[in-house]
Amino acid sequence: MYRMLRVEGKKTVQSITLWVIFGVMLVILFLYSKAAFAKFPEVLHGYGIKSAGEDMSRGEYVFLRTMGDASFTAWMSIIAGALLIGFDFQNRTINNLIYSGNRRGSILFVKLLYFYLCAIILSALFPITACLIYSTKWLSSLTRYDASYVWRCIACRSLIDMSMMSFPLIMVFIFRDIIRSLIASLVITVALALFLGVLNGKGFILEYFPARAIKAVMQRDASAETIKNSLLYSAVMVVITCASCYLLFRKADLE
Amino acid sequence: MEALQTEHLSKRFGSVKALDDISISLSPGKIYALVGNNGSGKTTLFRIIMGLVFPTQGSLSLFGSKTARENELARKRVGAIIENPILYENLSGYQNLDYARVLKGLANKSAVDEALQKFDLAENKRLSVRHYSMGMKQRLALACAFLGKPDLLLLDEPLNGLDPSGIREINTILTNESSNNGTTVFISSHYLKQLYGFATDYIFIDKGRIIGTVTAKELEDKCDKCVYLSVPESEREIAIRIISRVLDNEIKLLDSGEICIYGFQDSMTTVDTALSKERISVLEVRTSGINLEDYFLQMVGGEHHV
Repeated sequence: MYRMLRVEGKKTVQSITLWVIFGVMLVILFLYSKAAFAKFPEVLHGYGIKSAGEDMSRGEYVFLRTMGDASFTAWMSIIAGALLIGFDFQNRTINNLIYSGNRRGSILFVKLLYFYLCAIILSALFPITACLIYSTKWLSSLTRYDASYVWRCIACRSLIDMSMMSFPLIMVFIFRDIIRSLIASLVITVALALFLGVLNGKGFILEYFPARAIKAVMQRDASAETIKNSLLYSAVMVVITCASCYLLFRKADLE
Repeated sequence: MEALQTEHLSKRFGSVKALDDISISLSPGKIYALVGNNGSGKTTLFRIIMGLVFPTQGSLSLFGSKTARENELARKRVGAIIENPILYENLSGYQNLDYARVLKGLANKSAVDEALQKFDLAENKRLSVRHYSMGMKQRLALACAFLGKPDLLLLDEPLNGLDPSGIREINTILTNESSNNGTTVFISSHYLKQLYGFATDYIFIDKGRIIGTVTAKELEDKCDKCVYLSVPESEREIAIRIISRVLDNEIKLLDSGEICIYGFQDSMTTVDTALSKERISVLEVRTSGINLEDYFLQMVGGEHHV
């Protein structure tokens, strides 16, 4: 398994294409962040931000706004799933791992680990870029209480992100190519967005949605119960996703 | 211990029976040629052996393995190319080989350079694989398969895309590997002529079934085709020189005045074109024995063309 992880790492570091995509994304996100948060928002209610000067408030606002943006994670996980795992199926490079005498379970473990790691890094690019521009002052002067809140947001967000990546991941293991996985994931994401729109913020099912969970755990005054439930649903979702991928891959006939 | 043994292996894809009751046994140090038309089941058999596809029925054992897990581990001793070469196109030849080295658990990095040298890729080792020609990709895939000196080489149509000198080179490497290191080679092609002359055993497959197995000697005896050409007496010497230039076969001028081409497996067009270019008229052509193509057609009932 160590050898597979080493190869995945080497492959990523040595892939010029991935570095180019990464660089282009950084530039786009930098420009987008600059434009999106240049005008200080008048409306801060709902974020629980106590005004402490424009810079500080804006810093906190940008952190909360970007950390709570679930849509960016959704898009990134679709792209990461298709490119990182779909590519391996489509170009049959996953076969090399089987030829090398690895169990399918071990291969899946490495692929999921690699996917989650890359997808979380990609999803974090937006908050990181925006916070580097607007929130450094706020982040560097955090009280101990604020710092624990920031770490809580980052930790919870990572696990909830993983649950949000479930559909793209399962689609990749069902279709085992780039294009069909992309299309299926996009259709499901758009359908879910429409469904959420129809619910208009009401309905018990919303509690189980990662997008809602992110919003809930971002609240400064979120109760322990809310955080616990959000994390529990997310963890269950991740376990179900991994089990589904295993069942789809364990006995799959590969090209 | 057999390198590979399959018993009553069958595979269905929906209603299509891709393999039907395949039982074969490969002994160490031999070169087995698997010959069959496109769609005859060659690739499916290789994919089952390498664990990409699961059989519907039957069992297989690599190097005497008794369980599925033992088979998985035994695959470390197998070098394989199945269908097109599996390569990372955006990486260089060296990087591709280095990944194969890491996956096979070879500590020695010099194995990569040796493989590049052996397959004549050293000069282009830093070039991105997407810029490689088909032949170079094929050689790189072979180099990956050869890394770590595997005990069994499973090569599915590895000679596709190679020019005649490349084919000869690969055949020589395979023969040396087999005789010097005791490597078992299982190589497939839909073109019997490509494999003729260096395989020790031939397995014929059609519609998912093994339809015959012969040793090299048996095949040679069965396909001992000779072509006899009559040309005007004054042109016999020059005709022999021209034919020698286009064919590798043994050629003799018989007492009867006829030119005999032994073990002739090619198309007569090659000879005709070469002779007509030099304005040598062929008075008569007769043949004895059958060629490889006819032999295969006999095996499959004359329905296909190999």
